[in-house]
Amino acid sequence: MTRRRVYLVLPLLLITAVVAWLLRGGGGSPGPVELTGRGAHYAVTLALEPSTGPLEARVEVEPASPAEVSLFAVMPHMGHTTPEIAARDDGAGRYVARGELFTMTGAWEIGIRVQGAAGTEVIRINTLVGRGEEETP
Amino acid sequence: MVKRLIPALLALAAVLAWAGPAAAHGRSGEADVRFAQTIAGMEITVVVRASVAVPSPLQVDVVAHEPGPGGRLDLELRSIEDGGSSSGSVRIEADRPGMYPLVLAVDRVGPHELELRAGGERSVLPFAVLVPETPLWEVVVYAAFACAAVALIGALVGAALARRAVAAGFAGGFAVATVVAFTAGLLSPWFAPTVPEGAPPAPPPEQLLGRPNAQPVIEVLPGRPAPGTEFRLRVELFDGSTGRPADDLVEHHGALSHVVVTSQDGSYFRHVHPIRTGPGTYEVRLRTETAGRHRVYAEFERADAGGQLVSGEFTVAGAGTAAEEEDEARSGASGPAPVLQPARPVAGRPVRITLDAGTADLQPWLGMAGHLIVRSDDGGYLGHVHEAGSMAAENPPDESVARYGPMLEFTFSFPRPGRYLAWIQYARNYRIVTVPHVIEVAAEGSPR
Repeated sequence: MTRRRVYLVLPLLLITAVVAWLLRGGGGSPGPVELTGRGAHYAVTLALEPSTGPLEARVEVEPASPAEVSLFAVMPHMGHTTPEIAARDDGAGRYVARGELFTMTGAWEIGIRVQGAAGTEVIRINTLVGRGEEETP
Repeated sequence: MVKRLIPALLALAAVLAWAGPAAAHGRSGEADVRFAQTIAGMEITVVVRASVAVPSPLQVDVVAHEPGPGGRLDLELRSIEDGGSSSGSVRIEADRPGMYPLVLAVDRVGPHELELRAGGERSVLPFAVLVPETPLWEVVVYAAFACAAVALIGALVGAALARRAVAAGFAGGFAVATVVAFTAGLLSPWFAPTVPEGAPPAPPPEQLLGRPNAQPVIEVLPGRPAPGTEFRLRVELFDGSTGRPADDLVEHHGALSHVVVTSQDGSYFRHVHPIRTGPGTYEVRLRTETAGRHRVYAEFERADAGGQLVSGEFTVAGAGTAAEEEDEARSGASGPAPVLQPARPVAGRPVRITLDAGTADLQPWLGMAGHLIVRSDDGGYLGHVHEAGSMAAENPPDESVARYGPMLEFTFSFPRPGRYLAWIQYARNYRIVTVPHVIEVAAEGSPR
């Protein structure tokens, strides 16, 4: 009896798992990632959820001297660039930027522009962008 | 039972994974083919609709954006494998931009030529008739589900008749078929995509190294046209490695080649789509009132390669008047000028250029809601930017769908400081509207 139940329950569990996975979007939107990049003057750590639609990006700049930080993105394959989003100073070398960085899914290059006492540079970080959840059709 | 199934499933997966080379940069069989053409004074787009099966009728829509003087347009579709052809014609009315449909017949897949004839001009456009091929895994999934259904009925009938062996056999068959169907379905994202029937043979992706460069010979006939007279602009493309005509252009933003002609001062602007008069040879008839030097830029894409831009120039004799041309360059434009953000753009940093077109019934032209063409003052740089919102669309709508606007948004980084001439183009009521604008770009760190 118990063995029969196992034969019944296991496939059912499997089917439920598959249905749940498919409903989530077959892999779903990517979770938050932490990306790092280093230029001649600065090193940055960028935390964001690489998805389309509005997002919040947290940038940590080293050395933590006051700087003007902004973000933009380029999709080289499509010849596409997005406007710069200015990041707000959150203290101690941390910056927060809110806005839309990616207009479509695919491979993007994020440019982090840091303008500080040591100089101005754009640090580039590559990422793969998935579909955002709150995206309007 | 499960142990016996594993080798069978592995064998199935191996068969499915070996699905032939992927169509690298190949057109899918589901997409329409678009050829924008400037022929007999008309600016048209010929849309060859995708075919689901062959032989079949082939729907062709001629979209007249600028009907000009109008007239009869003859179309002939020829297979270059067996010469089988089908022809038809549409009569384009002078004052009626819009869709002019016709139906041709196609009886085989593979390479074809579409010949257009109007007003003594003839253009031969090569393309491939493709039919989407059903992937093997899809056939396996459907067949397995059908088997599962039959087996389930058999098992129920066996059980109802109290035939234990029959019921057990069918139940086993049902289980096997279901497992096969789900396995094939779940593994499908990892199988190589199918190549549509009729696609040209392509090397495997790892051997795709692009193509050599193409070099232009750009000339006008007669050699030094007079202002106000018609002349022919010819762009011939030659392969940089073989010296042969570069005759492998593929559809690039809705045309085989896009040609932008501007006078040095920018008062004269044309974005046209030359007809293909011979292998690697593209010609367009033009007329300008502006005397002096004119810059020519041709943008195109070779098969299995990226987009390219080549340029040249010609001179119009005498001293003409630029005033009339300015009106023409600003065709149909009214309303506010584009808004820049930041208002004073800095070289190397993205600037957002927004144009309020005033209405929300703009149509896509060349696959996009809007095009921004940017030329540096000296003519050394020419940029072509697409409207941001329509770029992200996965299935771009047809020319007949009027739903874009009123805001057209472009993002662009001007490469160097200086003065730039910009033209924004969009389609409304099928007509092309061109909005010229001059943008001054500052150097980084210069006083604002």
